[in-house]
Amino acid sequence: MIAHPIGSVAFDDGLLAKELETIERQATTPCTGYAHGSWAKCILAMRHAGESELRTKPAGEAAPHLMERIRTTFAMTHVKVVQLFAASNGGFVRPHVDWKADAPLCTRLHVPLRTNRYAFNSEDDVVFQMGYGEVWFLDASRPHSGGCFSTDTRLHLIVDLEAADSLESVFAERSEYAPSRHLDAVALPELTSTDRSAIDGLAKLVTDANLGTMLDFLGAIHFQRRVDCAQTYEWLLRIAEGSGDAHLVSRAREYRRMYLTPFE
Amino acid sequence: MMGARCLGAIRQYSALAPAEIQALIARKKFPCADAAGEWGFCDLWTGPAWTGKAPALDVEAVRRELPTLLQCVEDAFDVSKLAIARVFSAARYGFIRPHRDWMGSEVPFTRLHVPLQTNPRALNFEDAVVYHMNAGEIWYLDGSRVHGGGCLADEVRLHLVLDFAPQAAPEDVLRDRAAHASGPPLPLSRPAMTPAQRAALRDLRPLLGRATLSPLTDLLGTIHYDRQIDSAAAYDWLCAIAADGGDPETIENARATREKYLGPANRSS
Repeated sequence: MIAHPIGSVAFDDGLLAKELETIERQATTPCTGYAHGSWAKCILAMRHAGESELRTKPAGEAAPHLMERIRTTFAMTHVKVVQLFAASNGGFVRPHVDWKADAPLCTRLHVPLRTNRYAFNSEDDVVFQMGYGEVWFLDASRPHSGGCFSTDTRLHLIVDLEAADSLESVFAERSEYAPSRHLDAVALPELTSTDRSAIDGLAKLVTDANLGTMLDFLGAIHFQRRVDCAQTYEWLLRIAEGSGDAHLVSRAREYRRMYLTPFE
Repeated sequence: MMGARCLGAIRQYSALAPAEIQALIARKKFPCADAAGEWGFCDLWTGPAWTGKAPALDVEAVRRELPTLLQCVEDAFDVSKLAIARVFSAARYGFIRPHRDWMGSEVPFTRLHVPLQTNPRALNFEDAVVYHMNAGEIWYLDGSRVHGGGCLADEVRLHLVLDFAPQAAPEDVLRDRAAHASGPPLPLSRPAMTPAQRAALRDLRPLLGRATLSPLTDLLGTIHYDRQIDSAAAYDWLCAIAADGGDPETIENARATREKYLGPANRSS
């Protein structure tokens, strides 16, 4: 497990809650294609190629307290983009990797701004929860996912900085760096042989119409069973092979490539 | 007897400017919480019968941007009875879960679909019948029946959706009723569900829980596209799988999902 908390941000809870309500109502854009259900995002600020200054977007302007806390906490000269990810009602992002371990596109930090007991993240075979205001480093070269299985919306601040050799350098003040190996991992039952048989049995039902929804179903299983989230794609491929349909096998292989080795 | 039926076709469909269809595809769409994958809608303009809470939308702005589309609509329909015109877009296996728009006698609208861009894998359904609407055809959809639709291919399917005043009969909103021929959908032939397939669904019981309920609902909501089965069966299966699993929270969530889309369980589906 590589993801871990590296510090925290203190907010004025009342001010933050008001700002988040405004952004949530006006500015989040739903994501489809790689997410299931209610999963949306919103860019607060961005540094365009060749520019030295981070440009605050309208959603960021609607959240002066949040932006002030970001500016005082993080090394702004290294920040590339600041976003919000919103998930609710079973919305989750399919297990995926974002880049190769030896070629990170950025250093990605998560800061939960609003969360609940059914908001989870995962890396490999570990499902964990992040606390409000904690700054988490996520290694996006590992298969990972995240979602919220409550009607309450989970909101994470995502800060992408230039890929750093040292996590200390992501903070405005190096003294803010306070790594912890304490992990609030969710205890999950192991995948049983009955579970595996049920998954394999989907070969009787898989078609071109439902391959994508089957992927979403398989991608959610690791939130309930202790199993590597990347297994999603091995199961899907085995189901497709079990159907005897070459087109489905080809699509399942493409899903696996798209989500686990997009850089190859 | 089917509620959905084809009322005919827009004769001027061929006059529709392709650039207008592309403009509609490019417009920002809003998602629907009851959809899976890429499915979105956007409002175009409101008519005299609009009674919704949202502000009316000026038709003149649409006339400037989409002149041939508006001409087609005004030539084919009695727009004095129009409440709102929208587009529904589906692509890359996006679909709407089986649902009812209303129950009982209080009908909120008379809804017509006109496919503007489609493909053979763009399908609609009502109860156990799955069918395809051809481009330019005018279709009435009975929202009190269990129905839905989607695009089970990578292409974009674009439907113009016209909601007329609820008291307007579908045929009465056509300007030239005599020029149109009404007919039921041509059902897509699908093989029956086998006992092994039914068993495979029930075998999913240990895997159904809080995280998997929503994606399993979507999965079950696609089975009828390929198997001769009532689309409402998705929710019966969901409830049966949950009941087999025995977890009270999951049983309640499955029941609530069924009720959300089909209405209270004591009503026939």
